[in-house]
Amino acid sequence: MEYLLNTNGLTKQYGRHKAVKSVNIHIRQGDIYGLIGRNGAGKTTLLKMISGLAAPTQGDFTLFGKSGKEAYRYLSRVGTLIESPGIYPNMSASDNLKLKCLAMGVRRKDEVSELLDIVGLSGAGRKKVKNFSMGMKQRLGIALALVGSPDLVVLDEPINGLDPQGIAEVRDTLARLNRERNITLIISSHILEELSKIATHYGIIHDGVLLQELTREELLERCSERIELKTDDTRKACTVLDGIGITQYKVVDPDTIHIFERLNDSGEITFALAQNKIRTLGITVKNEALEDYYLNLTGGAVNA
Amino acid sequence: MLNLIQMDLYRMFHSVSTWVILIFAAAAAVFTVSMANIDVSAMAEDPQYAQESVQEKNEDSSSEELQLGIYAESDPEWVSGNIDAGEMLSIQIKSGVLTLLCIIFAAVFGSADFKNGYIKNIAGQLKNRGVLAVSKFTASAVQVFLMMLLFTIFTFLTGEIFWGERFVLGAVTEMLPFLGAQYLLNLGFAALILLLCTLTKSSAFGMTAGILIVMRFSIPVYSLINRGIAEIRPSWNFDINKYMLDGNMGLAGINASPEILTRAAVVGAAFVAVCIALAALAVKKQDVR
Repeated sequence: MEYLLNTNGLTKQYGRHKAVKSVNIHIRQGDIYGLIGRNGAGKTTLLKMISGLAAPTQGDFTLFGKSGKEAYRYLSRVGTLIESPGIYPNMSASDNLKLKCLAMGVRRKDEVSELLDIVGLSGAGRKKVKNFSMGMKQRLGIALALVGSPDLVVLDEPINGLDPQGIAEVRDTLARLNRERNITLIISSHILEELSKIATHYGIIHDGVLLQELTREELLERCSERIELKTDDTRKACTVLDGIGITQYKVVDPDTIHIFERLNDSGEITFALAQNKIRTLGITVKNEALEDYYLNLTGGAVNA
Repeated sequence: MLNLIQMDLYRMFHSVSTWVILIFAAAAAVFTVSMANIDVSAMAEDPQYAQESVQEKNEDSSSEELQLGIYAESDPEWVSGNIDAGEMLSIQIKSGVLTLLCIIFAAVFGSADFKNGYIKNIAGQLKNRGVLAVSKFTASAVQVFLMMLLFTIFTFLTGEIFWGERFVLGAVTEMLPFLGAQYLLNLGFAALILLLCTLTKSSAFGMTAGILIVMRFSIPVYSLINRGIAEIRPSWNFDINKYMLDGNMGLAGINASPEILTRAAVVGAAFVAVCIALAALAVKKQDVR
């Protein structure tokens, strides 16, 4: 499968400390990839490496099908907002954008006004950035990342410091950019609920290690309400489930089946299994929230 | 590269610090010429003071001792005779007052994008981010040129106001070799400060180091190097001052020999080339924080 970006054992070491350990992420064109992790999990370091701001200690990445040094030539198609927005506080929002337009060789006259419009700052273009609220600065940071219409935009904690209305606006903006301009987005955050409202794919990183990559559907499935049935013969159990009209189920391992319908019929299911001489080792109704799922995976409270 | 130069020039002309430093350059010219006027008036009123100044001048030219700090000495001959505009400008520029402003500008301008993080917006998207150092230096070179131009104009204007017909402009072409050498030396300082700021990510370090060098606090270090080399090769007669920016700045005046002016220009250009090459390499190799 052709990925827009995939990393191959990407590692970053500072002294003896490995901030990112052999990470392999896979992002396709049009994805909104949510990178979830606690503070200090290695999100920013990973994003810096794939943005060309930090050199990997080991490993490399493939970008637009090109790998090694050739991939670095395509970084001009990658817009970034890493950590807090990097802006000149004594300059206006327009001037900050104009600077990047000049640096990138973007000569289109309307570029600055269009970008300000996209991020909802069209009325504040002439205002000095030092007088901006945190949310306005974040939005300007996103606009800077969009200069030159990049194909991939890397946003590190873009909703940091935003109020609920600001978060919703940024989320809508990003979703619109993805939908209308087919911009692929990588968004890191430790606010899982927010990320879950927009991301189509997820990567969960912890202590520099990528624990899991999954699609939105997979995540919802794992977090949705379900019956978790543990039995000694899943093959026969599936036949029994079919027999009693249950079709929405999934065998997740040799002993476990997740059933996503008729959640109140645990008794009927156990009875049917017993009738067919299949032992029920355990049957429970589970409803795991996204945050619980993340905590179970990383083994602790979120340091948000 | 041209895109980045355009960006840095745009940033420079839209930065408050650029205009503040240009105003300071003009004010410095007015201030130093005013001080020279006070000095000339004092010498006119007190013949003994004038005599002492003549003695000091003669001692300075023969002595190998170097002074710490910033000094602009007035010529005792200015009391009764004409005041040569080129000589006045030469004394003021050799004092290092303009170089101090160049250093402050280079430190502030050169480290601004590191400080506020703007570099994160562009560094990743450049094929060779080492050119960032070259573009910043190019913008600094324009600023240094403007500062020298403004300093020269205001020195001449203030001299004209104070001394009228006694203030003689002379042939501008005669000033060009001296101004060219001093321009290159000031560019050398700007490049050195850009390098220090790039390596240390600290404008304070670059600025302080530059100011100390201009105020000749480097003399003890040079002395040690000279002595060390003299012990190894006594016949060599090596003087590191001849190959340093600050050493040449004090020598490359309007009346300096072509040999001294050429050496000063070469030293300035060499510092520019080496410092910018190293700064470009550092920007390329270092991770952007």
